[in-house]
Amino acid sequence: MTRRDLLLASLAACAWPRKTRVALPRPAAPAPIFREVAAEVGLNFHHFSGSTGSLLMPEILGAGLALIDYDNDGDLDVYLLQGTMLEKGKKPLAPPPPGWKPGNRLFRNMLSETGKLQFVDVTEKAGVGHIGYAMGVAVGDYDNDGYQDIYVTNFGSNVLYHNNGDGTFTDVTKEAGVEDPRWSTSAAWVDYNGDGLLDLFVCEYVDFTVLGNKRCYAPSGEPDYCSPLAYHSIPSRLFRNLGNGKFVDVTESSGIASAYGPALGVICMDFNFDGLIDIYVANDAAANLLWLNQGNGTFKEAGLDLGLALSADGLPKAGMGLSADDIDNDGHLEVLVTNLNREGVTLFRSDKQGMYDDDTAQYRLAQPTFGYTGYGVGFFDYDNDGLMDLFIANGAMTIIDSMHNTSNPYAQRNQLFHNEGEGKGFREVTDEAGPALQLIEVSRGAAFGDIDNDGNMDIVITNEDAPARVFLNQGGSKNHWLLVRLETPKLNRFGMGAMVGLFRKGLPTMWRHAHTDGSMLSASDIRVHFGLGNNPAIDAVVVHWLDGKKEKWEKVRTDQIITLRQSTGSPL
Amino acid sequence: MVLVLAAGSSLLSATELPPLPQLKNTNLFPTVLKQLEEAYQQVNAHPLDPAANGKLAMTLDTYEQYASAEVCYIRAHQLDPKSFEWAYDLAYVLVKEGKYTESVEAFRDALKLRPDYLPARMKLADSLFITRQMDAAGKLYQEIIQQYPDNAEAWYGLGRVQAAQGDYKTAAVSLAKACELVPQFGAAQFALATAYRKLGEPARAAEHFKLYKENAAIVPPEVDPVRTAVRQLDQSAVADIRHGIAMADAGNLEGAIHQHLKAIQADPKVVQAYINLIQLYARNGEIDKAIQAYHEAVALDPNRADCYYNYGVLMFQMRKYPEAEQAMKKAIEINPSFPEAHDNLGYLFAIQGHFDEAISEYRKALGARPNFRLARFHIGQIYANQGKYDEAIQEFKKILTPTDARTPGYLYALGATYARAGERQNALIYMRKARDEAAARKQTQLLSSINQDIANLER
Repeated sequence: MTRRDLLLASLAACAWPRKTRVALPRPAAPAPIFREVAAEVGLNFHHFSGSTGSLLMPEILGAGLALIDYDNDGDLDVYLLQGTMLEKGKKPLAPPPPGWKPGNRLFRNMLSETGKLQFVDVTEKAGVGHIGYAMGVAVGDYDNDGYQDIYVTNFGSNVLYHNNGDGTFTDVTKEAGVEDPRWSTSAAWVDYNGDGLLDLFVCEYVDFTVLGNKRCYAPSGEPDYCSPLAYHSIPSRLFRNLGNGKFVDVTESSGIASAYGPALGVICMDFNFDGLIDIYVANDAAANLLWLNQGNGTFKEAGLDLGLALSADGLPKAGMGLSADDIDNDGHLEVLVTNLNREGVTLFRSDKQGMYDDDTAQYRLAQPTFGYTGYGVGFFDYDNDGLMDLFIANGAMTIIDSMHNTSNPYAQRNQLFHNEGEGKGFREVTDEAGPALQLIEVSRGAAFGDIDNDGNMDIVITNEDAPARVFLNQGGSKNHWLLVRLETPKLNRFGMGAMVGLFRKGLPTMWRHAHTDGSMLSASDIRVHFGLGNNPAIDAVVVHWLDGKKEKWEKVRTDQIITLRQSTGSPL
Repeated sequence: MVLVLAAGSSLLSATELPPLPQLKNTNLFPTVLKQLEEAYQQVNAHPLDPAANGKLAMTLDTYEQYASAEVCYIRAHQLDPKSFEWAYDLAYVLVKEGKYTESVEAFRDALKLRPDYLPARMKLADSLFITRQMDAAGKLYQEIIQQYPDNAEAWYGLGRVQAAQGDYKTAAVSLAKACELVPQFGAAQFALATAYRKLGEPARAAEHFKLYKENAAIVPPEVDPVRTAVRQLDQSAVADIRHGIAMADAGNLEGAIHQHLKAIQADPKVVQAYINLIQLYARNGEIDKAIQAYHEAVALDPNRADCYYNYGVLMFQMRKYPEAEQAMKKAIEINPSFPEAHDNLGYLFAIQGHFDEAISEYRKALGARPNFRLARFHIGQIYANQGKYDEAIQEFKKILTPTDARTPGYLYALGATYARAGERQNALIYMRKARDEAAARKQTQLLSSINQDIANLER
């Protein structure tokens, strides 16, 4: 029933004869947009921060997750990152629940095999249960064998897992030359030099060590987690893929080392529309950095020049999660950065002349997000109406005054926003989204994808010292959709970074890109999702591959998951 | 029923006021806790006294307990609706809580009591801007400018409104006026650069972005007695240390030391105060006190890398090199990514003639901070002294940008290395560049050395 239908029904009720006494039914609660089903589908994962009261910074930061079809069976599996004790010999404030297993966990989705969304823990068999203080994860097929690999960042040594293609992985960190013992956060696979090999960008945070932990305070003197300003930031790194299973650190030669801050989020995309993939980095309490790809193996930092460094008042915020997309189908990008509470998110909108403006208030996001610390974030079309909506995983990093004397003074609810269309901005629909969105936890990672292959985008989130959550989209809109999987025969096998355009008569072209990066500490479904509203007609789907080739597919049926193989479409 | 009224209060009973927020947390700095408890006691003893409620609100406000402060300001405002302070402070904390829409009405209410209070008018205009009431915001900024033509913040506000309305040309004029009035106004420089960028004037944009970077956090000094009264209540150790650092930056070492000692009074466990005192006492020539502060800091927390680093610098200055080396090593043990500690340790190795170890430490400093020019300069120095001129030149060339006070010295080192390598032409090129840069910066001593070397080369 639509809103208009409800209105007509109530008018009719008012017109009934007065003598008729009818007990009017209580208005039914709107059907939930999402339902939390983690336990129901067997995704039993409980994050453990190991916090002991010493207020060690890594405890409040992680960890993320990945949606990855590691076995190429057509459904999304889930890889969840785990913390551990940082101070040996101390008792944790929040011990893990009985039966808890240490280390990262891989859950296999049984949907394709059984027809039912159900997850099975295959960590031991797969060999991906690294026990460390995990932070972030990046997913990409770096060796072009057709199976996606996993890079895990840690507070401590990072791990590269090569996917063997038989359900198992091998730790190849040392051979590949991508180890990093510092505090890495988000990471992204990106073919920055167009050689068809995925390179690796790793965000680095600050020079915190457990031994050198500093005591920090809220303004009142209450002990609290430190801000990154209490430490020194350390430079992020770029590794170039040599194609022989090895990588070389090109941080300095590429120019990436020339500027850095406490980096927490990264997303790789063509921000200046010159056909080259750039790297955008969210820094915590420092200007965000935009590394413009010069096309010769080097980058030039242009955050200020393009307007993506700072919010409109010229102040750096605590940049964390990132999302970038053409949210209103005008052919230009919008970029969203999540920040601390009392800052709110920042939404940068392309001015269509190559620069970006802070249009947060115009999109009606300034006030609703002001009181929240946003982490994982994503533009995604939850109701398949063709416009990108917004989900933000929230949870504070410092104690929230109003949450004193509660079980967790860092807990906040997550937020869902509906894109109301051009000029109307976003409307918060958290209250309408169902009980799943009323959970008050310390949420961190958020990954977006269609985990039950029903054409509706779902969300999986991680929470500090709490269970991971699966927000299963109930598909209430019944709108049409298309899910596109890209495939190439030899290089960049999953089409990472490619643009996919969906053409329809009389309607604006929708451009989306294939990627797993963005959000924070997490990796999302690489498949490209389109919501089509109530119009199932598709004229063509166009792919701009990273190697410069362009192809078109016509007569594409709607409401399906389609694989577009390079060189099988009509060249453009 | 006898209604007990506090002086100056309206005819309100305690039950008509919003309930007093509880002091939820007692794990505070001792001085802060005492201050809050006293303020609460006053309100509990005199619940209808607007001054007591207002004082509690101000105390909560200064420690950023905005939600609780809001409630107490509401109580004070209800008890004394004619008090401008409570109305204005209430509006102010609403902004701090992100309640911009409510703050517009609250500022308007406050301004009914004191229509001429400039900070309130400015903040109302700011809230109107944030809530996208552009016409009203622009009108108010213009009214303020008419009355106070030298108010840089009003010009800045007006410029931002004009930019938001798409009129970048007019915005640039307003913002340029703000920058002219206060050239160090970082946000105005940023907004002006952005406006020039929009107008397709990249050179002017770059010029103002540069000025922004140099002054990013600087705003015109605020003259707001009402808010100053709130800030002055801050008795936390953090505030004392902050003031102390500001004093030290301004060259007032005595004042800085006093503020740090005050911080220790507020919280005897605040180790950062002792760590800063190592440096402050040393700079003030009070070596024994500096060493004492080091021992106090280590007793409180034996794992602070910056504590050992400060002590190491002190030992170096006292030419106690083994002690300095040990302190730097300890700092690095705690924080392996400590660039200054690696650099200093490298220097200590270098003066002992252990050049390989020195270069290794300098490289580690660069690993932790790739744009650490001093560490690279030190590497170049060693190479030059070892006669590895090509390597030295390569290192020196990497530190010529950005151009700042260090650049003349680096250019000079490069020129001198070319001279030693027998490349007279290149030597002269860089020596002359060094001379010009040193002259522009009035680095007279360096200039004299450069001129002497140029004269020798030109012979």
